[in-house]
Amino acid sequence: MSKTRKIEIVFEILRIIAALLIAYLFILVVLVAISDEPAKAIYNFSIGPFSTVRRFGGIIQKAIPLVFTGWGMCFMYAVNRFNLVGEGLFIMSACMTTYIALALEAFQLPKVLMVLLLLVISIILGGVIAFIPAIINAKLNANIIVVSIMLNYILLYLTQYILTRLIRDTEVSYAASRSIPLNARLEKIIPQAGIHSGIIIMAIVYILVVILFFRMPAGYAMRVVGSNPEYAKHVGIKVTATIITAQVIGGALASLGGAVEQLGMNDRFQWTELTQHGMNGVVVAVLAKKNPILVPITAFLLAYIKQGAEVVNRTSDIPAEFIIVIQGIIILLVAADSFLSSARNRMIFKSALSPANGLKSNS
Amino acid sequence: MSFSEAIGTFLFSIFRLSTPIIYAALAACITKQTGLLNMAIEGIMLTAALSSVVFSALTQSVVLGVLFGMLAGSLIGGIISYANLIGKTELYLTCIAINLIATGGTTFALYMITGTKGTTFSALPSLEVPNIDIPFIKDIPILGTMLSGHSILTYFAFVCAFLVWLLIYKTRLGLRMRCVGENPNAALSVGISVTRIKTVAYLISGAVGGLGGAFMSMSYVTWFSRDMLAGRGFIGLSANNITAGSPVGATLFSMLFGIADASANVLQITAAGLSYFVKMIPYIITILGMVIMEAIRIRKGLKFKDQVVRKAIAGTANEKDLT
Repeated sequence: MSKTRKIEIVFEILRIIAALLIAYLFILVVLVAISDEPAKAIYNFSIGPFSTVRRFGGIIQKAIPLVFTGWGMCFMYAVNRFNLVGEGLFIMSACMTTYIALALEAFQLPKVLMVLLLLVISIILGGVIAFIPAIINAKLNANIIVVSIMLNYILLYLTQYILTRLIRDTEVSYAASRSIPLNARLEKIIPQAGIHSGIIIMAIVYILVVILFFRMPAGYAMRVVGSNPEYAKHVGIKVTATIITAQVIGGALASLGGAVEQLGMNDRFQWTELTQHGMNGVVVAVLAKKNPILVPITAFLLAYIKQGAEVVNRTSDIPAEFIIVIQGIIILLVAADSFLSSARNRMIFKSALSPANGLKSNS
Repeated sequence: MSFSEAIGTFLFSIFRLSTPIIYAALAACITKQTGLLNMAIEGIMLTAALSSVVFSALTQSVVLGVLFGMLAGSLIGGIISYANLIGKTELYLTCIAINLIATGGTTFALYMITGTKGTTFSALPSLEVPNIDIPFIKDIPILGTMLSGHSILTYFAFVCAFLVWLLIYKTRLGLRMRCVGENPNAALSVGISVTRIKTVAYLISGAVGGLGGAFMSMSYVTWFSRDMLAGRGFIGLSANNITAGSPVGATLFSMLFGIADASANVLQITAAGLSYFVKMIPYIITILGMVIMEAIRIRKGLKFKDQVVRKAIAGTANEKDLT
């Protein structure tokens, strides 16, 4: 590895850490500014998530869906397509798995079979739906952000139709589906922390995703197309097909996340608005620099911030929404190429002038 | 309600529902001319909507409310251009980030100001932009119901379309904007500061989007509620994409989306069981509109490209005040 490349990598990491620190400081400043008891709010935010087993479990619970949507965005982002359909897919998949689980209730399938079936259906569902904006964008060059966001609204209303017309439990006063049959739910493997077996599914998918992304021709093609489409065309990679495949896989992963979240965490389907998991996935993928290996770490970081906000929200009157603002700031800072770039360039310049490279320094 | 009255009301609602989309499309149009997509219009309008409500309640002045809406829009536009042009962030990511900040920030601010997360309704004494009855026309049966009694901001949307057209095609600034959009290097070579022109475009775009936001919270309804735009900014953006940056075309396409919106509202009453499918109509129409127009454009492909190149060459050859 060349020296320049090494410096660049070091600065990439430094930049992400700096961005997170700035965002973290920003949160603390906001907490101090608006809280009646700043010390308590800061304690609750920073230490609170680790203070009890239950709360720490909450971080893991929150991280699991973010890992899936984060991987999803890694694939979309790897081919430079900001396909945001993960947001709509997440809720759609949760709704559809509930619907199918309820429809198959009478058959009393064995648990393993039932869960596997539901997960496979969610994967197919995600792939098929993500194909729509992908093909519209690839063939017609329509703006993918607009198409995917419009599609998200359509998916949201579709879930609401299914919820209110097909699976609604008429015995409860609020809009919620009937209770998900027990044979479709993911087992709680660490009950005191509320962690469900979705974490095992995540571990399995982790291996598959990393192999696909780094060790398979398809994954290689995606990375090449993303970093240099012209070169990809010259070496004979089918650019359009690769771009679409990446988005289909990304959609399938986000959708799988929705199913895991629904079967692991919820008794009923009762979401009536978009859940932000898809958008969180963007932040996770950006922080991980579209590297699926790092996604679990960055998902954990974001989940920690979310859990901290929730603890603060529960113990005081500060709304958890400021976390969404923080996510935006993190994206801006990580994405800003010029953030810390002068220091990086100075380092590269210095190393180029160093005697080891055979150049004489004038200074 | 008589039949003619019902038709008049329907046509009236088309204009009303088109207004925010027109502002969004015009805002998108301005930056599109400089070669940049403004995908944060949704966030701009949302922020402006909150800002208008808050400042109209504080100052008890409609004009100041609208102005602060525009100012908030411009501020966001400024942030985008700073991040994108000075901070060198990817534009797509910047806009996603800005939309996130606007979504979370408005809800957060809403809660800090009013103590509720839902709406400012009854919490803030905000004002309404007055509606105008047009003399004579208001007495004509269908036409009167359709054209009279709209909010000032609805009428101004069409004036604004004309102003944007003037700006882009008839002013020095507009010429420079188009020049930057066509070929930034050529613009640079004749001494135009690309960064400055793009920043100015974003500031104006933000202000126009801000008008749309002000319409939403001071006219369409008279309060702010979270996520009240429900994708209208993106619909406007696609109206602009479809027409490739022409202000007049973008306005007309926005009206088409307004028709879809108005039809959905009417169907909602009649087809109660399918209300969720009816709500999808504007979004489906938007996707279909993009698909159809892009398909037509690709079929015309070469011819169209030829024209653009020829026009560009002819255009730059004739213009002498590029300095």
